[in-house]
Amino acid sequence: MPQLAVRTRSGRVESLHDGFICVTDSDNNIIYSIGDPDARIFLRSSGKPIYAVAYVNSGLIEKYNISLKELAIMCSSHEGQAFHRRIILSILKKIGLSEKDLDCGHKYPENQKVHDALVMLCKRPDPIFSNCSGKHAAFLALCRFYNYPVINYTNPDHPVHNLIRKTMAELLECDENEVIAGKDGCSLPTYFLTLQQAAWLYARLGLGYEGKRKYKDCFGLIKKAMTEYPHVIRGNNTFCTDLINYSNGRVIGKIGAEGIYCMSIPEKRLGVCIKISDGHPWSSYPVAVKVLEELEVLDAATVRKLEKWSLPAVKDDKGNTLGYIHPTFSLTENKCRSYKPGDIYP
Amino acid sequence: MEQLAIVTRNRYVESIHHGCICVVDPEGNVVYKKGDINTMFFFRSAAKPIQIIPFIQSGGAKAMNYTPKEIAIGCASHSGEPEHQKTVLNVLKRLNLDVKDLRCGAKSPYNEEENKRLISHGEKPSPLHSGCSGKHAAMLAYSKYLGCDTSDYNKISHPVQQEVLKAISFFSERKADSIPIGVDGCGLPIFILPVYNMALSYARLTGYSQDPGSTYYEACKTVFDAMNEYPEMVAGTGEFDTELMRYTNGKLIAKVGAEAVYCLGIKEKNLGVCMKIADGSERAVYPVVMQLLLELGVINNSEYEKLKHWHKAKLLNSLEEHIGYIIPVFQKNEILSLGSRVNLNTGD
Repeated sequence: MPQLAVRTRSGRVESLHDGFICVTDSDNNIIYSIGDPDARIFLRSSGKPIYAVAYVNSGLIEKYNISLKELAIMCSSHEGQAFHRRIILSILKKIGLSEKDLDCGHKYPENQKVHDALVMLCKRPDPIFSNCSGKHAAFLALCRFYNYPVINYTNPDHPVHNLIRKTMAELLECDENEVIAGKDGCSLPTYFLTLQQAAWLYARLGLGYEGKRKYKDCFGLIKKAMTEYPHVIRGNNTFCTDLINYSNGRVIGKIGAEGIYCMSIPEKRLGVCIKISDGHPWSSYPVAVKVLEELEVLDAATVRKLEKWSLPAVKDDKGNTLGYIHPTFSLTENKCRSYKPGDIYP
Repeated sequence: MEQLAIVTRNRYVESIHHGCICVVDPEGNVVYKKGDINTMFFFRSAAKPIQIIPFIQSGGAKAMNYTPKEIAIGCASHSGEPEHQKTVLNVLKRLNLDVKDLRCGAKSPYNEEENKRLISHGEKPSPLHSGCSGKHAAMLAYSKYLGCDTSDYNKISHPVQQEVLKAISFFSERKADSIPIGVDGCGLPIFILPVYNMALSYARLTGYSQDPGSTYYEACKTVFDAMNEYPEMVAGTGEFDTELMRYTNGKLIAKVGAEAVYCLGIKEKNLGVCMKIADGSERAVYPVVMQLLLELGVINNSEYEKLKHWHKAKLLNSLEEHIGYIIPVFQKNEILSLGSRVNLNTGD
C-alpha cells in the first residue's frame, strides 16, 4: 500500500501511515490518484455536507426558516462548544422538538475545555454534545418536514434513510441498490463509496451554483454555509475550521473518522478524498495540506499559518518537540517515498 | 510490512494494520516470524524490564532496599492510580528525594478514574502520574547507589544511562555503538533495534531467569518474578499487560511500548516475542498478541476465557451498538484490501 506519511522521533522514522488519495474534477475524471481510486471507504462524517443536499432540496430550509449558520452545523462535526449547542437548540425549537429527541448517544465532546467542564460536573454528556448532533437535528427536521415519525429515526429502515439513499443514488448517478450503507459511530447509516465517488461529490460541492448537474443549487447553498461559518463546521483551534478560514473559503475541508479527509477546491473545480488506511485520526492533515500545496491552491503564508496541522509535532511529556508527521508522497508525480522504520529522516 | 489485523464495520474492511512479529529462543533461533524481522523500531517502554537489570545486577536494588513491588513499578508503564503514585513516592522518600527530582514530566494518567478525579478537583497531573515515574525513580536510586549526580540521570552521558545501554547491548546482542539512540516520551534515551533483537533480549531475560548457572540468573529472576507477583504495578486496573500476567499465573512477562510495540517473555518455551504495529495503533496490539499466544499454544482454555475480550475486540459506537471488530489476520494466508467484504467467523 502506498506510503503517505511517516512519524519521526529523534531524526528517525518511528511509524508509517499508508493510504490512498483520489482527486477528480466535477465531471468525474480522475486528475490525480495514489493507490486504488475504486477502493471503498465508509464516508463517515465526510458524508455530512453531502446528506445536506437532501435537506436543502426538501424545502425544509424555507419552511422552518433555517439560517445559513444552522445549515452549517447540519454539515458539521462540531466539538461541542456552547455556540455550537446554541445553534442546534435553535434548530430544534424551529421544528418543534427538543434536545430529548436527539438520539446520537452520550459522547464526550472533543473540545478539551468543554470535556473537562462536563467531567467537573460529574455529568454524562447529553446527546447535544456529540459531534454529530447537528446532523441528527437535520434528520429530525427532515422527519418533521415529511411527516415521518420522529421516534426511531436512527433505525436504518426508517423512511428518512430511504430518502437519503435515493438522494445519494441520484448524486452518484447510479442505481439505489448500489448505494451500500453501514452503521456510523452515532448510529445513523454511513455510506460505502469509492474514493473516486467521494472526490467527485466534493468537486461538485466546491463548484456549487456553477455546476451543471442536478442538485447544483443545493451544493451552492451548502458551500455558502460552510465557507461563511468555518467555526461552526468543527470549532476553535481545529484543522477543518482553520483550513476553511485561513484559505478564505478557497478550500472546504471535512474530516471523517478512521482517517478520512475530503476537500473541495472550487477554483480548480476539483474534489479530493484521502484515506489513511490504518485509520489514524490526524496524519490526514499533513497529507491534505501537501495535496493543496502541490495543486498550488495555498500560498506560502497560508501554509505557514496551517503549520501546526501540516507538520504536527511529536512531543515528549515536557512539551519538547522530538519529531513530526511528514508527508512522503508526490501527488502530481504519483510517487511515494517508501521509508522503513528506523530510517534516518533527512 | 505484513498485514496483521483488520478493522471491520458491518463486515467490510474499514482500516488495516500492518507490522512485524518475531519469536526467538535464547539461542537466537527464529521460531515464528511475520514480515522482515530486521526492521528497526524504537524499543520504547517495552525496554523497561531490560533497562532495570543493571540496577539489580550491580547490587544497587538490594542496597537501596528495593522491594519486588518497587521492581515491578520500575518496569512499568503504570496508569497513575493512587497505589502507583504511593509506591513511587515511597521510593523517593527513602532516597531523600522529591517529586521534582523526577525528570519524566507531568502527564495525565491513563487511568480514567484518576484522570477524572484530577479534572474534577481542578488539579494538574504531577510527574508521579507519568507512566514512566517508576522507571525514573529506579534510575534515581541507581544514581544514588553509584554515587552520581541525580540531577542529570536522564542524559545519555550519565553513568546510569551508559550502564543501561550496556545491558541493552548485551541482552539484544547488538554492539552498543551500532544502536541508534533517540529520546523517549519521558525524556530518557531510547534505543532503536531490529525486531529480532528486541525479541532476543526478552528470550535471554526469560532464559536466564530459569538458569541458576547464569551470571544474570538472580537479576532476571527478580524482574520476571516481580512483574508476575505485582502485575497491577506493571500497568494497572483493567490494563492488558496486567490482565495477561495476572491470568496466566507466572507463565510469561508482557510489556507494551508506545507506538504499538509489544514484547513478551514466555517461560515454558523460553521464548522472546516482539511485535510492532507499523502505524503505531495500540488498538491492534491486543488482538494480535492474543492470536499469537494461541498460535504458540501458550494459553489454555480457562486462561483464554478470562482474556478473550482482548482477542475478539468488539467495536461499539456512541450508542453502545456493536458495529465491528478488530480482527487479527496474520495467521491466515489471505491479504484483504480496503473495502473488501470479510467472511471471517468471529464467533458471534
